[in-house]
Amino acid sequence: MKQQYISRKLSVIIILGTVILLLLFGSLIGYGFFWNKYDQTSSSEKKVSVLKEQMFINPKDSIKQLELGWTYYQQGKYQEAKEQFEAFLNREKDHFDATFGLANSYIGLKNYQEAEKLLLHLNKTQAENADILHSLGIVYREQGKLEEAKQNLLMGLEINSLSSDIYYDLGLVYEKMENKEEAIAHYKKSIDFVPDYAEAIEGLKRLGIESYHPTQYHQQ
Amino acid sequence: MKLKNLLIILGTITISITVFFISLYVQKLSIFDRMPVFAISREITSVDVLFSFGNAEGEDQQLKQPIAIAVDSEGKAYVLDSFHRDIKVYDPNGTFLFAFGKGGEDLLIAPGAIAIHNGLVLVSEPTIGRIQAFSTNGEFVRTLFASSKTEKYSPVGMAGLDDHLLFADAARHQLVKINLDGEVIATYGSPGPKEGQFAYPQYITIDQNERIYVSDSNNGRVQVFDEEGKYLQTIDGTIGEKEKMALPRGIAIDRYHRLIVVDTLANQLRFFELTGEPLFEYGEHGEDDGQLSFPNGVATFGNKVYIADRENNRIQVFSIGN
Repeated sequence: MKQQYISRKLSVIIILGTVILLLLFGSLIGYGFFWNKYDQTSSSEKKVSVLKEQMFINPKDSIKQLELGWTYYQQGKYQEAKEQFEAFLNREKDHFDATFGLANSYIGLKNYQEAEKLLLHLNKTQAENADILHSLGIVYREQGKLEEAKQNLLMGLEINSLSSDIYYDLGLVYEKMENKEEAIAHYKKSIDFVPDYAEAIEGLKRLGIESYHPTQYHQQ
Repeated sequence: MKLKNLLIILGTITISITVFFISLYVQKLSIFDRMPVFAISREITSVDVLFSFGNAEGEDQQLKQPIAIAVDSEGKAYVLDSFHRDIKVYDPNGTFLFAFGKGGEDLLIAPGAIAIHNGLVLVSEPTIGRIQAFSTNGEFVRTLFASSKTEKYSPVGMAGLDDHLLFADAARHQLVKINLDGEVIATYGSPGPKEGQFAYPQYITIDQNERIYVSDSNNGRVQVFDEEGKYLQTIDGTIGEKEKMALPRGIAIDRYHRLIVVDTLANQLRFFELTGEPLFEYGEHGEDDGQLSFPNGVATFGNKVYIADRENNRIQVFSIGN
């Protein structure tokens, strides 16, 4: 039988080509079907699916519904959050946390009038609750009622002087009132608490202060 | 070259590469997990969340307060669930495989830390004063170490060193070296803040030069010793006017020979050169992806860093960007 010969150069090319093709093919199959097939669902989304499952197993567990409402709220899904808080309130009327969650969902949905009604109702029972005063401040500010907003946020700070968020929101009110000095002071105060408070840093930039480095951080 | 010989070579190459890939497919390990290190730079530019697991499983598979983790050579993660007092095992993609330690002979009463050594999964129980050994399939093998009535030890973190095992004895503030028959060979250190002393030492890791790194938790530092237990240096993170670590717990060395320390109270991961020079800090308190809530144990596999994110009831897996 006649032997067939191939040049050494061509043999090397064929061998290397085969190796490269096999590696590419193997990698394609690996990444397509076997490797890095981990669940990339966010922790927050996983929490929603776990809570829904738990609610399906035990529909009477209303606390899970409340938790689901706040999880949606944190995700910025205000409509879904509102639905959960409303469903919870159908079972337990006047529940403080659910009503507060519903009010904040309305704020997220920019329905400030409904939010104001609920917050004023809560404020009657808990006049010294800094969170309610803070939310009321935001509601008034967004409706252009700046003086009311300022009063509520100042009261909120009286009760909780360690809230970087209230300092920031008050700074925003002062900025809208064109009180530059107070706005800067309050933005700086919020950065004292949270050095990388992006919105407050942005607020200072709008007012002409390019950088602010607190020398002493507040301990919360 | 003869055509026949070329065909034989090509056939051999094809079979070898096919077998190689099939083994990677079965283990769910990518080709890069098995590659040697090609680091362009040792500098860390970013830490990114790849995925999390243990937080979307069924009721009895859901992690609750995971405090320690070990990853075997096949990329399987063994997670110590401190609430359920068992070990849950996950594949390299984070899919739950099985749990063990929950009852019968292999009952774990109060597990505190986990390590893999010589193909055994070792689980320490500080309050009981023993170390239980399991196979990687979760079968109970034997009690590797048990305190006597007169000599009570509280083993937490463990690390294998040749034919010996080292463990951090949290109650007596020392490092203990035992042989694989469970006999104490040597103890190193005493309670206190000085060099070579400890305050609730927690975890141990060993580098390629057999230097021993111990998280000396309540002293806010990592201490380094040679294989004979001689004190070498302290790493507390203060080089370059950085803040001292608050409560270092989990420690590991990655394949780029960088030391990773979990600062539980600061909710941070601190990366160091093995010389102690700080490289990178990452983390803040919270429950979103990338945030941490009282993280504890750490393990590495390939370019992945696994963190037992205790109060978020999950394991977060990060990739380190060079």
